[in-house]
Amino acid sequence: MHDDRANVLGAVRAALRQGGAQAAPPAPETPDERLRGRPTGPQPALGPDRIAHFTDQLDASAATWTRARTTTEAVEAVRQVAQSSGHSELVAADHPSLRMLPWPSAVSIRFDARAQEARCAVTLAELGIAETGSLLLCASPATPTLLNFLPDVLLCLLPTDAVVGHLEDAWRWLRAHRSPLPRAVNLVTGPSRTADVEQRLQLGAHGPRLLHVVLVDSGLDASIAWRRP
Amino acid sequence: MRSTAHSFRNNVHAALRDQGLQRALHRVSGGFADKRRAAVEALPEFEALRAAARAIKDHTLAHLDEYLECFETQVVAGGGTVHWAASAAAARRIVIDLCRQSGARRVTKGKTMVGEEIAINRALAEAGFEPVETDLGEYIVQLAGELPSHIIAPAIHKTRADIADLFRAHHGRQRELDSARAIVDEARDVMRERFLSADVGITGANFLVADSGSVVLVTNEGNGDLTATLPQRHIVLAGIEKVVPTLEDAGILLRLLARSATGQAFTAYTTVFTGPRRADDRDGPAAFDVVLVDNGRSAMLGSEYREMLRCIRCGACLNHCPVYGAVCGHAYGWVYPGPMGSVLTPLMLGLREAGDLPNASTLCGRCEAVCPVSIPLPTLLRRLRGRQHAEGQAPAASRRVLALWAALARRPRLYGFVMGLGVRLLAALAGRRGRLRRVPGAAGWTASRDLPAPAGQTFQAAWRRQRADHAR
Repeated sequence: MHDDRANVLGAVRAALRQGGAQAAPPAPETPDERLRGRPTGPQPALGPDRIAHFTDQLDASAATWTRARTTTEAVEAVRQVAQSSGHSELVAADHPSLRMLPWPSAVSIRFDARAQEARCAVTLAELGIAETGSLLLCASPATPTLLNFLPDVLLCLLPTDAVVGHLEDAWRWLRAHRSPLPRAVNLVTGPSRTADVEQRLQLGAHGPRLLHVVLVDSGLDASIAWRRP
Repeated sequence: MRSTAHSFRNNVHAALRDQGLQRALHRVSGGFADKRRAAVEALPEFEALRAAARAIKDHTLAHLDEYLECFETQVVAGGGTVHWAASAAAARRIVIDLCRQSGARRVTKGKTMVGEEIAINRALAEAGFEPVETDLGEYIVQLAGELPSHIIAPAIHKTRADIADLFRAHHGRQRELDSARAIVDEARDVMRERFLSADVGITGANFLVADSGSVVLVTNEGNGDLTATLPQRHIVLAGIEKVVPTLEDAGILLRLLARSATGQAFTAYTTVFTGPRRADDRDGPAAFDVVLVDNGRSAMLGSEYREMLRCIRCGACLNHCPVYGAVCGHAYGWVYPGPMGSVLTPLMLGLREAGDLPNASTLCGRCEAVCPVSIPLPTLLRRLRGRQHAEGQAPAASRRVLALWAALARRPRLYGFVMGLGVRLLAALAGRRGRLRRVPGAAGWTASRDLPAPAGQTFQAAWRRQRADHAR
């Protein structure tokens, strides 16, 4: 390989010794202190109701959503969205928390997570982030990353009590429950979009045209959802 | 692509005369700025975030060697590889070698400005690979054989009809492309097969996280994730200034990035990539390579232009620049346009090549006012002008005028006399209208506007009179 490691680091060190003439004096903190302390910067204020803030942000991101009290209501919401978007076959992430849901016989659902063939997919988010209206999805054997991107329609189930406040809460959760980090952690905020043609927004550029979130108040087993199966 | 920054003046004239370009610019004019303003107004914490972001970048830059080494250690611990490139040529060689190792044919690419900077597409094509841009805007300019004209909206200079013509010429399909929807759908369709058949995926990075060895990438289309997940190898191209200490720090910058760029609160897809696929993963690349590119950045770090390394490539300075708004990106002649480009291009290619760029600014200050990391762009532009003058590179005419002015300014009485003569002459020429339609020697300037005439006396004279009035 043509590796310039010594050259680049040497040049950086020489530059730092020299100092940018007009550069602001560095904060007194050392890298060690910063990496240990993880100082948190300013956070946008959230409304009094975290879930309402989350669903407001979902609306703003052009995602659609349903709130389900039970798993029965949740699978019914999935069925309705699939039907209204013209899909009779669902491909779901092969995840125990999804398999154990009370799927009605009227729903044709495969748990094999072959994303390449999925046009309407069902998957499970590990967290919701109220601040941004994002879903946090981790690459795992049960939840392949491509399932989040290749289908036309993505239906995402999320335990209501897995909605956290800010990005920082998500980072903390990842360190506590997903360490070392999975290959890919996707923060998905609304359907795919582009404004590259005359700056006019079009949904469904390369990823899903429709993102529907089903918030499930009870019965979607968060503890299973939160463990790498 | 070769720089044409040296012929900036000609580029500008061509851009102003290009009616298609002016139509495209008119159509999008103000859109980004309005959306940004709304996003900033909706976030009372914006200024506090700006201050925090600046502090994060300054801290990281002051310890850049340590954070880069920390990042490298973590990438390696996660099963990835870090490559270091001192120059654009070195970065190209590394990428080509990695593609050869993978036995690649087709190489998909997410949008990467460093990739443009090192001209990776041309190098890939010359080495026998097929580079495919996957961001719709980048794909359009790739088909057109052009550079992006905006760092976040690469095809902003193209009208819908231009794009439809390009698609018809390259896709060989006979579909109606009479709406933006139809164009996007055709691109999605054509690109899907290319995503699935790619051997290597190249993306940029918005941030590198030292603490976890992660790469943070934002896109709205989802093309970055498909590029990074489908092929056998994911190569990340990143400037060395992209590193931040922790995910918390990346989060602060993310709160500013999309709001400053498109006015979105958050980009549709924000992904944290860490290492290659795990043994039991169902998808993802087997190899994860990060190429850290210096290409002039360490020199900036040790110079009076260090603050430029705070840049997070949001494009806000372009969207608020009256010069950019009039001529668009191609006139700047290289990869980085607008105020940030007018600083970066001379630093990367030299003032001899890009000496006109720092002068192509009214120094109105909007760029600094909207910069999410508070880069003092007008100050840096002025500093480049100073260097240009000190090195004897300023144009002869401007040197003569400045020398004349300096000679006068050092002789206050003479200065007052000459200026008094000048303002009286201009006021007399302007007559009762108070405006001049034509000024000898400035025909270009007055072609599209009138010169307001001075008030008939110099500032110093007015000041003296006012003081005398007060004394009475």
